[in-house]
Amino acid sequence: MNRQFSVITRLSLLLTLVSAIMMVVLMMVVDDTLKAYNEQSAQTDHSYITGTIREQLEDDARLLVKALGANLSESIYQLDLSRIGASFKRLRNYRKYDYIYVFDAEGKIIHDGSAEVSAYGDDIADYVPQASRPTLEGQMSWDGTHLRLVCPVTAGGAPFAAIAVSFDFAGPIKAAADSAQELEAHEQEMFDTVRQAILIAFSLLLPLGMLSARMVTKRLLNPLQTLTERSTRYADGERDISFDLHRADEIGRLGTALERMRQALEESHHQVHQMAYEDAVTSLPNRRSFQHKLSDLMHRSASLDNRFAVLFIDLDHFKQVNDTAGHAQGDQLLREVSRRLTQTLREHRNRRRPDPFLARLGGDEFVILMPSIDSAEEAAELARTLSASLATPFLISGQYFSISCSIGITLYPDDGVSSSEILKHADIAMYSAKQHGRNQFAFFQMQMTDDIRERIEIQQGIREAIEHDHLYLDYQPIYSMSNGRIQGAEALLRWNHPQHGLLSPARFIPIIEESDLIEDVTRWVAERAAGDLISLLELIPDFNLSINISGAALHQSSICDYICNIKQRLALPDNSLCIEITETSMITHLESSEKALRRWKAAGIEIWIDDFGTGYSSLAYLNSLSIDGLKIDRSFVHNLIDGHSRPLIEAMIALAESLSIQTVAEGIETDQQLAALKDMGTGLAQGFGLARPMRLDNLIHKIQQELNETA
Amino acid sequence: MPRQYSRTSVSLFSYFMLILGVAAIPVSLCAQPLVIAQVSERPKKDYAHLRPMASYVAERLAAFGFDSAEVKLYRSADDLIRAVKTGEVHWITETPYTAARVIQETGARALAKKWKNGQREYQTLIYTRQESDVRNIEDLVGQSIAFEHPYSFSSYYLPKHILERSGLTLVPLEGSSSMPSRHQVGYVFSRNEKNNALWVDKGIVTAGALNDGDWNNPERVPPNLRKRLKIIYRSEFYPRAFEVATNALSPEAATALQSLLLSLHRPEHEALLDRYEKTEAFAAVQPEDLALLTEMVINAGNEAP
Repeated sequence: MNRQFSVITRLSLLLTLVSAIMMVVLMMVVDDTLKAYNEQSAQTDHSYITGTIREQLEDDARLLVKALGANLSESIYQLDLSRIGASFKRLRNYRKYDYIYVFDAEGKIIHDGSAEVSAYGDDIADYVPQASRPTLEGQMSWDGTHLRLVCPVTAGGAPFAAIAVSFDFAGPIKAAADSAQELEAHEQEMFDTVRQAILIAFSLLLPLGMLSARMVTKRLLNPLQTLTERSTRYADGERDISFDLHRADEIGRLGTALERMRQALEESHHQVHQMAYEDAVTSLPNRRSFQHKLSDLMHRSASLDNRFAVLFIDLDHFKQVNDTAGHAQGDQLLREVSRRLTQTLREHRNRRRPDPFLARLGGDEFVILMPSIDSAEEAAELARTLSASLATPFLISGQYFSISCSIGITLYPDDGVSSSEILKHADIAMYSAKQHGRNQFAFFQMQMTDDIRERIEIQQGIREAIEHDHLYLDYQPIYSMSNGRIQGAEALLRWNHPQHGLLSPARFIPIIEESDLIEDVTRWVAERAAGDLISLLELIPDFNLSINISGAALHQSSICDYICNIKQRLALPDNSLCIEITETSMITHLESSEKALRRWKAAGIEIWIDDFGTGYSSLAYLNSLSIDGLKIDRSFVHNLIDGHSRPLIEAMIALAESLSIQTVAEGIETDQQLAALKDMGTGLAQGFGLARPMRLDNLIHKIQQELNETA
Repeated sequence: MPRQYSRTSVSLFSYFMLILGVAAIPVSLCAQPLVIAQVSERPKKDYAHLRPMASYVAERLAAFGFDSAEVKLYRSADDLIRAVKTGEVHWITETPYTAARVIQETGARALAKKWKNGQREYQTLIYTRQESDVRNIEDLVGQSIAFEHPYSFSSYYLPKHILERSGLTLVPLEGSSSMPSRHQVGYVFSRNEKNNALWVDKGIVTAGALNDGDWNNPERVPPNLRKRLKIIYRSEFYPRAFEVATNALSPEAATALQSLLLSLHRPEHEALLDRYEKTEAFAAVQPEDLALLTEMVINAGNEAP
């Protein structure tokens, strides 16, 4: 894997590369320009020097020959050859020439510069390599380094002869060329120096550029590094970090965005924390939070020999508030309770001790942790104060609610050495307080454990029973008094516990009724019974099957809906399904149950009053709710023969007759009872004496037998 | 009009000072420079030739009132003679013709013969080009001849005399390219020996005249050129030069000068003699020499230009 360079390194390298390329290009351009300049300058210098020297030489030569001509004018006129020769000889001493001639108007040579003047009288044209024939007029031309001149010699202003001369200027021109070359060499040297200087400047500038690129990049990216470092710290759990860089540029905006993200994250984190550790209704710490707190304290207390107390608070009859006033009101009440508890704790604050910790475990259960106590009495005192704080009725939405609480107290380390044990024992103590009449507190004692074990086992076991089919229904036939045949049956819930065997409904139903589990159980019963009813209806088309609905489930509209849905889904005929409710539960939940009863009635489901005569029914309700039948309580039937219940039974039968509703006599054990009740006019009969509750198969078998006998 | 060189002017000034001095004090007591004179076309060169000898002699003639030496050069013989007549010159060294004229016209006295340029005596040569049709001097009729210059004995006086003696009529020509009438011989002056030979060689003139010394001097007549020339006439020999004392010099002094000159011999005075126009030696003047000098003036008349 390639090694990853940091952005700073890469950026500065890139910048350096770019500036290096620019510098190299610049250097090349400068170098090229210098070179071009150098060449051109050398040429110019060369031609300038050569040109200048030639001009100078021309002027010089012309002047010389002109002067010579003027000087020799008379001599030439007089053909003073010796003097001309002498002059020419002298001339040669300081000017090198190829030839020198004096010639006349006819082009005849007068003197050739030699001692003997051998060319005298010859044609000048034969001696002078000039393009055109030399005349007396002045001429000048270059042949390489040789300057050819023709200069007229005048007498009285008119030319009569001319001097033709060719100077050899190879020396001066070579000297000029040499100096031009020298100059060129000098310029080349200068050029090399400049080039070297540029190279040095370049090699100095390159690291300088690299350094400054690095500095600039670092400076630019420093805020990014700061952000990265802060992000890492933030990720590592540091919380009081701000990403805000207080800059207006892009990185500043990135910082601001990160800061906003952090704040959103914090918010979200806070919410998650709340959801995880805070109760949504009261904003108190929740069970999990409490458990953490408790564990921590336990952990610390173990080595410090610290004592602390846990107060388990359960509101008395809070379920009724929920059931009657609705959940919104119930929640409001919980908030109010939490407020009062908090307030009480605040007032109860002791500077020498850590503050108590209040949490809501769920439902109407609160718990208070007193982190440090000296004696049990401190916890008792707090419990009393808390109870007192709830004594004043609560005004919720214009309605007063009086509510009390039962408090269970555990002490560490006396009542447990694990947090779960401490909490469980506090719960048990609370339950015990509740058992002993509510609105009181109790310290945990070891024997309490056995008392409530069954209750806890039932509450915990029922769900498992539903799931693993440990529940089943027995059906007790209900006979028609008139023809003695099975008219219907009552479904009775049975729990075949894996460890404890068959459990009595009287034992577990009240416990279930106290918990939320009643709803699930009711649904299970309704579902199973309705399914069985279909097969029974095949045998007896007007068969009635009754199920018992607990008062606790009555006010739950979801159960009401559920049962209606079953009837509709299975297309059960009207009045085939009956609901039995005890007179007591109907009266207790009169207002909330009335709605459910009317809906059932409207849906074609019959309503029977169970255990009639044991409660305090309002006769007006019996009428207005269109009850379909009364089940005369077994206690009346039991006392029918030897007791004094006959007039009561007769009254009940009369009431039913007057309301045109049916009556069922329960708990018939003997034929005597049966006969008496028949005589008294009871329509239907039920009891061990007629038939015990049985499994569906047996019931079906029994009905088929009956049908066969009739046939 | 007499023309003098700058040095001469200075001398002239000195002369006036001398006149003033003479008026005040006796001549014998008046110290003066010994003046030697010559006709010269090349005054610088000739001054250098004369000066050492003049100084040498002046020193030895101090007894006669000479405290220094002076060289005076004149452009023409006439100028010289005029100067001699005014007494400003003591001593003259000249070629035979000029010497003769000075003697004749001023009463000067010849002291010694000078073997100038190593020549005891010389002759005049008349020459033409080899291929020329001119074979003798009579053939020169209708032709031109170049002489050196008007006061040259060997290259003007003598050859002209010779030609005229042969019955030829000589006329001066305007320029070198001019031609005489058919019956005459035209002459021009070549100014120097070299030109003389060159002109003949180049056919500018038909003939030239030079003394034998110049003829044989390769500097003046290059050997190659000489080959292309032929001599058509040779004159008799004449003394080369004379030392002359003017009347400004007392007879005693003149005699002393004469003795002094004749006493100079090689090799003891070689350096001095060499510088004095390459004089080989001095010789005593013979009676026949004096006759020649007289004859020359008579024959030529005083017709020099």
